[in-house]
Amino acid sequence: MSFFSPLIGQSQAVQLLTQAVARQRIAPAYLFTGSAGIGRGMAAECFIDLVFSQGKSLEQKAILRSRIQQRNHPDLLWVEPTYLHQGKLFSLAEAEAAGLKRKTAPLIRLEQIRGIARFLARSPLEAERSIVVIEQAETMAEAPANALLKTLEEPGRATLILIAPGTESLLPTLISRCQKIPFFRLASEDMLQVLQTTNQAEILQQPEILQLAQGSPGAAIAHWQKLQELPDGLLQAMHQPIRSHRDALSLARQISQTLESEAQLWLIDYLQQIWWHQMTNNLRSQTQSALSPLQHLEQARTYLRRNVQPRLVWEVTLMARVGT
Amino acid sequence: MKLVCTQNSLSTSLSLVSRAVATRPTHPVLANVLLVANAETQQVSLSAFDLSLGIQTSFAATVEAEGKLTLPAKLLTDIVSRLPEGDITLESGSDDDASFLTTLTCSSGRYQVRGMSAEEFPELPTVTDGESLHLPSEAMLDGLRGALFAASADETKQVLTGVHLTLAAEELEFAATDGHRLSVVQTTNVDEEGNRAKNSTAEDAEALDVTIPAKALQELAKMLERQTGSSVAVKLDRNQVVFEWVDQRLTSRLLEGQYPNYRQLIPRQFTHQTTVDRRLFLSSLERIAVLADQKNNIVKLTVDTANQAMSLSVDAPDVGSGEETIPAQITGEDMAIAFNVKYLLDGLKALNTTEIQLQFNTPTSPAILTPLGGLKMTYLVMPVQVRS
Repeated sequence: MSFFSPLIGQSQAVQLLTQAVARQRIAPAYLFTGSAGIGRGMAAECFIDLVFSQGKSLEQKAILRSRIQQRNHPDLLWVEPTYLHQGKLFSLAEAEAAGLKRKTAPLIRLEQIRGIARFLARSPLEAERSIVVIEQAETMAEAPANALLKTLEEPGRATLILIAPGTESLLPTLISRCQKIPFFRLASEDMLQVLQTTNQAEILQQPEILQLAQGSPGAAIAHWQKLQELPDGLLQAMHQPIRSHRDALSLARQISQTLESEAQLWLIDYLQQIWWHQMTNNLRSQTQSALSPLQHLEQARTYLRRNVQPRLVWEVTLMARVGT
Repeated sequence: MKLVCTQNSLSTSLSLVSRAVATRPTHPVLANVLLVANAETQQVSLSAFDLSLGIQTSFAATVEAEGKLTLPAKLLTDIVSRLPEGDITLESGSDDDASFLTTLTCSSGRYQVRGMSAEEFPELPTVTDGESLHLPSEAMLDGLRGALFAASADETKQVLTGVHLTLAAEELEFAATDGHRLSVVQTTNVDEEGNRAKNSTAEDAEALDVTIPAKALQELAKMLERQTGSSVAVKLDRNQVVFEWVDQRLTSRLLEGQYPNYRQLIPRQFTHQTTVDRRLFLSSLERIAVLADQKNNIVKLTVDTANQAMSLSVDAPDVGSGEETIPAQITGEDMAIAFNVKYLLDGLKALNTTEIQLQFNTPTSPAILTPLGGLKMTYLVMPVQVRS
């Protein structure tokens, strides 16, 4: 059985990681770069499985994978961005379970970095080395990133794995301490395979979702879920041309009343995709002014991010569409 | 798994092990306790672990079907502690049941709790090829009581958050410091039958020294106070220490790093020696502390050789002042020295003889408190410099 069999289409990363283990030259720190949803987290799990199973009996190997996936292995620490609420840290899942209202994006916090140092002060219990995974490392502010430097340089009998979309989003001092493992967007046949194995084959019927995902199965699944959360009539109404100002106003009211601000931002992404697609199909309208709907949407996104009243934003955006 | 046990034994064991459950565990399974029922010995063992401290205890129960699983520690402790006295039946479905639903039946009703697979639970660390020795539990307790309080509570002080243990051929030395005060206790390493505690492997006279986190030792002290056995088996290697006695086990990681060479801090000669009654000193100091707490915690001791008396005074600006005088046997010249009242109180509470000796040289050099008779303990406290 190959440890990396669940991972599809990242042959270079697999090669780099398996050779590191085979030659017993595991770096103290890795940086997994690539867009979200293309298997960086899964690769980390596979790699940890491979490292932890060295010198273990068959029986122990069998349950290793589930222990890693449940984050229950004592030598593994998986760090996710958190929200700070009343002095306590909540991960994304915990915040949802607790029903917290989230206004700002979650971050990797200084307290968590200190937790990593405490975790690594202890020698590994079962495996040869401890492993710490930091997901969405790009959400680290400067203070926690600086706090990590010393740990990253000399983690002791341990390996740190940073997962980030690219090298630009991290401090150069962090990057220079890590070995980079690049991950790439998947080709369409690999996409097909991933979506079929994860029982998400219905997404393959949605070309605009696949285009929006740009070769990232994780993103495709996320987009699909968002799409299904939209109220029924809304999507159809958005596909129709908007005939009158009255239509535009009532549609704007519907959007601002039924959707959370996060879902509204997603809707803008989605609309940009389908409107752009309509435009490119419709060669006649590809004149100077034709770009403007997309620019209107871009403007709307900026407004929403700056907490402009959502209903007003949608009214302005949709009224500009009237008659096109 | 099916077992019947008394509410009392389950509840006591649960509250014992739940001290090793982290409040916000980094790993989901560590919020649970591991329950292992053994039909052969008719015993149930409970374990909890926070990756640093691990506690295992077992109690007698009627085990009808063997098995093991983990259950949420907090839920189970809260439920069981509130149940009426009497027998409790714990029963879980077959092992392939993915939700590990466990039914708890008592005289007043039944509860169902969702658990997790026992395979997910990390094994408590064991020490196979390290030093192993038996220590008298009384000596352990004396040492812990005398040293634990002086360890630093500040996480950033790393090695100072632990108690340093030195095992010499016939002596056991406990030391703890937080940078302002230091407590050193020497207890004998010989148990009642006169057997030297170190086992045969320790022929080489090399002393063994380790630093154990204070948190683990606090639990150890609490557990040792409640048990009856006369000796504790200690096993240690580079990373872990395991204490074992009768039916309980406590494991802890060791603190890495060089412990400060505290012996060279203790002065050998003193110009001043004062012997006072401990209770008298303590109760005066407690009254003085009421005012001292208001401002800067400073108490000033003035020794008066002519009258053979020591006066304690506090002057808290804008609040008030106070002075007490207690009889003392004093050698040396008249002198005034100031201390943080909290450090003096901690020390006086830990020394348990009727009379204690206070020794110092100058108002800015370390002072020593020692008991007269009883335990061999040295409590060093740094004075506070006051401008008069």
